Amino acid sequence: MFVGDAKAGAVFAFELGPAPAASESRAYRLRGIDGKIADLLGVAPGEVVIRDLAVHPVSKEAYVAVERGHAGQAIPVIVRVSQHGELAPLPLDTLPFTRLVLSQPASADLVLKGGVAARTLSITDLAFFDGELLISGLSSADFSSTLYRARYPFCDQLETSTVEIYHAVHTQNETRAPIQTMTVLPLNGQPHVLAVYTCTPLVTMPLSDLKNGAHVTGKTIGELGYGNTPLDVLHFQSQGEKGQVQEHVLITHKHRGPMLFSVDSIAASSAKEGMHEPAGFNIVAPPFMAVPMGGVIRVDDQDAQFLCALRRDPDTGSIDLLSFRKGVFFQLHDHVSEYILPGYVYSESQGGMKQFQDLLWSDELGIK
Amino acid sequence: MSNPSDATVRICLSQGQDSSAQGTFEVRGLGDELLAQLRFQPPTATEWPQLFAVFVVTDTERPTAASLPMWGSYRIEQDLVRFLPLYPLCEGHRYFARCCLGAHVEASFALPQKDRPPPQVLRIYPSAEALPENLLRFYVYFSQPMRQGQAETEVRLYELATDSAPSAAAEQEVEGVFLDPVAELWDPEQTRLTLILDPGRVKTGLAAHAKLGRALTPGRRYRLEVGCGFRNAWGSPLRSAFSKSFAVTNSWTEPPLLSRFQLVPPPARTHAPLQLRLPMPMDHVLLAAFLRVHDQHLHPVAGEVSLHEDESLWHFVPRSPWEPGPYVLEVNQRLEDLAGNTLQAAFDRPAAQPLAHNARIALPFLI
Repeated sequence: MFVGDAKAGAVFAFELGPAPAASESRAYRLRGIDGKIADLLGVAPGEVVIRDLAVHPVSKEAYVAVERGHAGQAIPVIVRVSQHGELAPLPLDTLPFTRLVLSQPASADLVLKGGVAARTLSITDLAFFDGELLISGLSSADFSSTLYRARYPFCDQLETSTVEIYHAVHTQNETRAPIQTMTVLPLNGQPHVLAVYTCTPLVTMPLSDLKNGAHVTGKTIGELGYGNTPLDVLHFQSQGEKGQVQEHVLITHKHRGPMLFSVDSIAASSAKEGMHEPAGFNIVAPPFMAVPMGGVIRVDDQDAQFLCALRRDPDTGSIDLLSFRKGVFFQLHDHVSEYILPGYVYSESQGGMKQFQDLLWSDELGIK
Repeated sequence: MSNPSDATVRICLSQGQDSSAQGTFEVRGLGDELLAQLRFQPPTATEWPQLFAVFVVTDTERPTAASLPMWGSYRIEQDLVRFLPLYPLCEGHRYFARCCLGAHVEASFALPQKDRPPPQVLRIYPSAEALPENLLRFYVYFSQPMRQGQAETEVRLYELATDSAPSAAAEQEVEGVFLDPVAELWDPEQTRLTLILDPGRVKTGLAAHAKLGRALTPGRRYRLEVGCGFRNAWGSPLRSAFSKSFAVTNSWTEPPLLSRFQLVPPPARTHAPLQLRLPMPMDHVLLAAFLRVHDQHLHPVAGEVSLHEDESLWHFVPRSPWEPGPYVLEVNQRLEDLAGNTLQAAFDRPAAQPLAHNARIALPFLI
């Protein structure tokens, strides 16, 4: 498990050891996980900041990264959540780990009178592909688009590239805009970085271009709308109606609803020439579906049936750990419908609606 | 029927002499027989919280049915049972302990908030009272570590009414000014907040500019306000709001010219500062990070940097007196002015040649 530590300017790789495979595919339905974690950590809910989510590829347990407390008192904690909703702290201090240092701390030999000399790095995202880790960051002082690339297990060699993109909302090339979130996936037979920037260019670049010291020009294949910060990008597979494998990319945002793309449409756009014309304030992008997963802040691939997500509940404001059934991408219990009224009778013309809704009730509430 | 020994069973909070020592909860007065029984057949990890649990309580006097007990471990000691919370107890929090060992006992403990003065903003960089239209960032220094996640609501920019831009209101908020990164930019101590003005509105020729307008307009005056609701790490708000007023000048669109940097060497065998006069104010963090003095053996010279005249004059005072001989001031070409123009390229134009990462320029001088 890779963990970015911005304060240390480093990425830690923890060895979790062998994990038993999940015995069943089971939906997460943990309401108010932020309050539960605060209870277990012995602090008020406002003292817990939830940072990220990852699902163990074998055990299907969810790992939730949180910060307990603020500033100097802050303690990083990773909470492991079983598919049955049991929470346990990950013993970070006893797990074996290796470390990749990205930035050196300010030298003690040089001090700045009345100021803080340190340039701090905010790690915006990590992506692992074929034995390599990519790290994107934003510095607190010099504005740069540095992308780090390192093989795992870590060795001393850390490759850095800078990336330039055409920003169709800003109508010009940007040499130093930082990547906010990214993933690596094959497009047209070649591994590519799919990166999303603030305000909100969607960019591809061949992984092979990211050579040490290289200045790479990414291809802008879409503008996902102005006035927005992307939160997460996920590449995943699902099974179509005829059993065929379908590949998707889901992008969640801070100020817009989640967008679901097919990898084929992204690959097709990536094969064409990139955008060089102003997009104005329109969304110009490969075809996508606006999925009803509003409030989702972090998402990961769970298994063949589900995506696992942290979602801010629009009614209570608390954060829930939920599974969204692939192909459906919504929660039935969010909605008041006539189907739930006592005595509602499904007609024959509704086809498999009852079975479908029973399946969702079973996912979301455990009601069979 | 009550056991006569019940009255002696009690829960205590043990914090030790050192206030920084981690607090633990003790159940005392259990009696030798019960302690021996616990030692002989210790409860399992899942049984313990049924027998002795500690909760953090916030809005209620007691834990609710939905409350979960804190994570921690249990120890049976000579004359007591101890609960060691996995994470340290926090000041300003209340803890509720419940014990069913021998008798049903409950106790509540409030940890007082330590007395500390309210936090305040110490200063805002850049220091100049006139800033370019394409200013890239502000730095806000606080007197204490602060909480993250408040900049979006607590930091505001207002345009002030002037003769050339009369407004019905004395000042008007300018919205959508700052870049909204996934994570706020703080130094490790969380006393310095970096605010980046949205490059989309800083750069020239923007569609964003056409709709939203530039954040800053030359000839007008503005006020950056850090609201008094900004809270420190312990939840206390600022003593008072802090403002920095400034006028806006035309944008800076060219890379700073190294030929206009003036290096003034100090006299030998003194602690007098090495002076570097800059053609315009530069980014104060990068002036500390990207300039290094090396002696003739190429060893870095230790010392203190201070900035003067609105960050357009750089002073370096060595820890040991200057020895006569040749020195080099090494300047990283990524050094930026207030508008993000580096020595290599203007902020909003790609460099003519590919940028060399961390390329340095050596400025030799003799003492």
